[in-house]
Amino acid sequence: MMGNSKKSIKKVTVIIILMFAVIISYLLKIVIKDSGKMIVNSYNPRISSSDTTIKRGDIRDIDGFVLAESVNGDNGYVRKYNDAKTSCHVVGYTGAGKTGTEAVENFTLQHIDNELFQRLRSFLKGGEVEGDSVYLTIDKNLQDIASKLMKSNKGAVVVEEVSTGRILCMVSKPMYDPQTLAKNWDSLKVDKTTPLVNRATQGEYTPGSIFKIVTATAAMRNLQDVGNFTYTCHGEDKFGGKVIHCFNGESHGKENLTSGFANSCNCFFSALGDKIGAATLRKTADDLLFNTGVEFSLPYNIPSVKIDKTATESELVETSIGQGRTTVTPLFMASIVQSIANDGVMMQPYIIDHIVNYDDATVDTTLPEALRTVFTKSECKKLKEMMIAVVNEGTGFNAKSDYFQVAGKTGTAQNPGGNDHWWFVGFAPADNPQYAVSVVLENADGSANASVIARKMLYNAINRKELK
Amino acid sequence: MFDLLIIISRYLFIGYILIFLFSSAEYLLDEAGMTKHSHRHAVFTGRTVTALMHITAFLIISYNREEINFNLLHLAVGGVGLAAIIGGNYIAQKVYKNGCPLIWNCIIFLLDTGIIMLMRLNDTLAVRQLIWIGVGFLTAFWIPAVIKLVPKFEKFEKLYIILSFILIISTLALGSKEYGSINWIHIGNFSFQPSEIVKFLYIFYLASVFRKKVDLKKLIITCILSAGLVMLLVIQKDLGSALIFFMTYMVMLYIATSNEFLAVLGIGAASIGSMFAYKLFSHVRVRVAAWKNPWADIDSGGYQICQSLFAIGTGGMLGSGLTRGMPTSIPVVTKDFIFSAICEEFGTIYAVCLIGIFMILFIRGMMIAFKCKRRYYSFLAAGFTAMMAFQTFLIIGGVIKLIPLTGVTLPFISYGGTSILVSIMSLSFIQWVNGYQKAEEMEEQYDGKQ
Repeated sequence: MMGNSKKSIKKVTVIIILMFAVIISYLLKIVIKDSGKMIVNSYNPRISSSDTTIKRGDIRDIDGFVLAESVNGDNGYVRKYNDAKTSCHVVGYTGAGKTGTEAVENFTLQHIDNELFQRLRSFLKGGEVEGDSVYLTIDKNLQDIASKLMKSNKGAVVVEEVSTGRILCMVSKPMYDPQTLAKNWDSLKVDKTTPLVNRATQGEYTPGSIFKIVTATAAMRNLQDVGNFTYTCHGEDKFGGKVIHCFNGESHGKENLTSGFANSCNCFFSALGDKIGAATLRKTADDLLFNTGVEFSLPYNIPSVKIDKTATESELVETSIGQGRTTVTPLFMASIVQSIANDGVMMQPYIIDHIVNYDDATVDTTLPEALRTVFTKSECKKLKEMMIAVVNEGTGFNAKSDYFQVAGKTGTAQNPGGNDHWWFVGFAPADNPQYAVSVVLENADGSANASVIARKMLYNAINRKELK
Repeated sequence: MFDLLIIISRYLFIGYILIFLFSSAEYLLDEAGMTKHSHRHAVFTGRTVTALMHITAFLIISYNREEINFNLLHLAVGGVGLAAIIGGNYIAQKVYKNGCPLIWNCIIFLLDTGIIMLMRLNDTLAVRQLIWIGVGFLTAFWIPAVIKLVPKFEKFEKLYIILSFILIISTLALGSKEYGSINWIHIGNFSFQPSEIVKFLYIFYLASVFRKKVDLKKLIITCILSAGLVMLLVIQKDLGSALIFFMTYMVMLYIATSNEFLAVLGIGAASIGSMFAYKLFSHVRVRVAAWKNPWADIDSGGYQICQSLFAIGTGGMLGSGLTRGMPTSIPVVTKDFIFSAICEEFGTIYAVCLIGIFMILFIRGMMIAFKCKRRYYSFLAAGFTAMMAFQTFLIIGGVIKLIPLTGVTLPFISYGGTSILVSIMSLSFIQWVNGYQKAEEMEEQYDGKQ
């Protein structure tokens, strides 16, 4: 009896040891693996606290242009933004809280590499104790060009490298000047045009006709005879009590999938959507990561396609042509066309290129990462063909370039906010895609054209180095 | 300049705790006869390192950056603290002649870590904690004398359980709410947690009952009474204590009967019980939801745990350095969440070593239970050790989001008079059992020689 209880004590001891082994492993897991992402949260008060006795690292563009730096003032270091207005949403600000890269890379910018050495050096020889600097993937030159091209429009422009997911340009308008933000904070906060919002990642826009990419994909995936499907457009048609008009009431005549896509024919895609059905259309959207979204280091919203099998016919046809309750972000649509250009492989979009320490030695580099294959190769081939037709023969004629073949899709999204949103999403060169672009002009005022902006952005991105 | 010193001090603290662990290992080797020298050297090293840590930490905390001088009051508290801890330790070893020096060393190290952290967070609480440590040791010194006076204290099983119920029920009637649980009684300026005292009585009760052969009738009676206590604690929303009582019951039952079937049955019953508790009580559901995804409800339910994770994550492996973090942003940081504060400022390496010290303590406690020939004392030692081990597991596991958070204190470290008192007295009991066993062994050797 006594012997048994001794054995039991041994077993209990082993259980206690195991319990604490689990605790130690879990603690190490949080600190080593999870903490990087976990601690970047606006609820972490350590983000807003700044140590003004050390020189916070710089934020630079891809070529090293210093967008944000810390300079020594009377009361320790203060943040200075150099001509960073066009990049304000990416760079972010410090002062009234922190946002953008200033927030997500806060602990990098404040991290003192070789701290002991730096502090000893500063103590003995004088000199600064410096945090790590962040090189962004964006090109300030492209930022400025995009901002100029958009003129007085609100909206966003995103340029993404097709093979890597690197974001070369991310502009959102209206903008604010991070240098004077603290001073203008009270008016910026209540500004009805919401300049503090990064429309490129957070803007929830009705897609309009650019959603026809999804409807066309759903048709290719689910309709056996999609190649032979034709429809004759008379400028308007009735679907389940809902009258659908083509743009300007234009009648397109007899069309197949490619010409319907090139003409951006609403009646054709309504008829197609009717044939596909709501549940199937929803499934294709889900497979393309609508409703899941693509993670991004800056705050972002998830695109949403709400239609399901309970939808009425009029909801179904509205969704098929990109109206209804569907919303997308410019960044997400850039990812969709990037995938088409990249044989269907969606890349993780990223904005931080690499990190260097006080000695300009690279301490961390973001490696491109394939997220998921969302289109098959044959779907990509067909979609590319259709998107070339849009530019060469259809609504996207303004994106046609003398220098390379552009493939893309236009969109004109009706919305309750006022004027239509004008969209263009696409990539170039079509035979060897390098860059994908996504442009939205929110309640477009007519001073600029999305297709023109897209073409010029593609030109400047492709010839980025030569134009410098 | 001072920043530079704090940066260096991070390595110092890790060095101190590593040397402490190393000296503990040396002690174990000495004891096993694997080295030639006696364990005196190892014990001395452990104590010296603790004192050095104490001095380093108080110099940092006392330093006043703006005025470039030291806060004399803080230094005085540090001095008194050091003297109290060394003195307490010295007397403890005199009173408990055959107590295990390694256990005393571990207790001192844990207490000191707690005092340092409290001093950094809130100096008034640190002073009060010091007083409680003093009271704890003074009470512990009387334990051997009391046991001598009342030699057959295993006979009072009924008294223990009746007192337990009275205390728990009186909390329900008279208690006041703190952090959502009704587990405090205030009498004048004096307040205490009856459930902490019941821990003692309960272990005495179980050891008294289980010391003889366990038959079905006994099994059913202890089971019903324990379930009653646990239920009352759940109603008081003191989920942590409820879990600790349940697990202690299971361990002591298992040690007494060595019946694995009963253990499985108990765990099964507990699972069903917790499912009912989840369905019945909203406070249980809130805790579970905050554990599953604290980020979803960061404004209210998940706030505490997220703040704790921010502190641990931002501190990283080496920590921010003492006084350089922001642990005061964690709610209840001096009690339930003190471990997160330690992680933030001393770093995760230190925190892992600290868990190592707890493990040494618990393994030693179980070894004493293992060696002790008298069933009653063996069960007492095992019960106290298991109870403290589960409590430590629950609170550390809770603040790092391994398990749902149950508000219990971290033994020897969290602020709280009753908690400190109970922790010191539990370990003193284990020390007493160790002394009893050693004395028996010596007698046997003596008898053998004759």
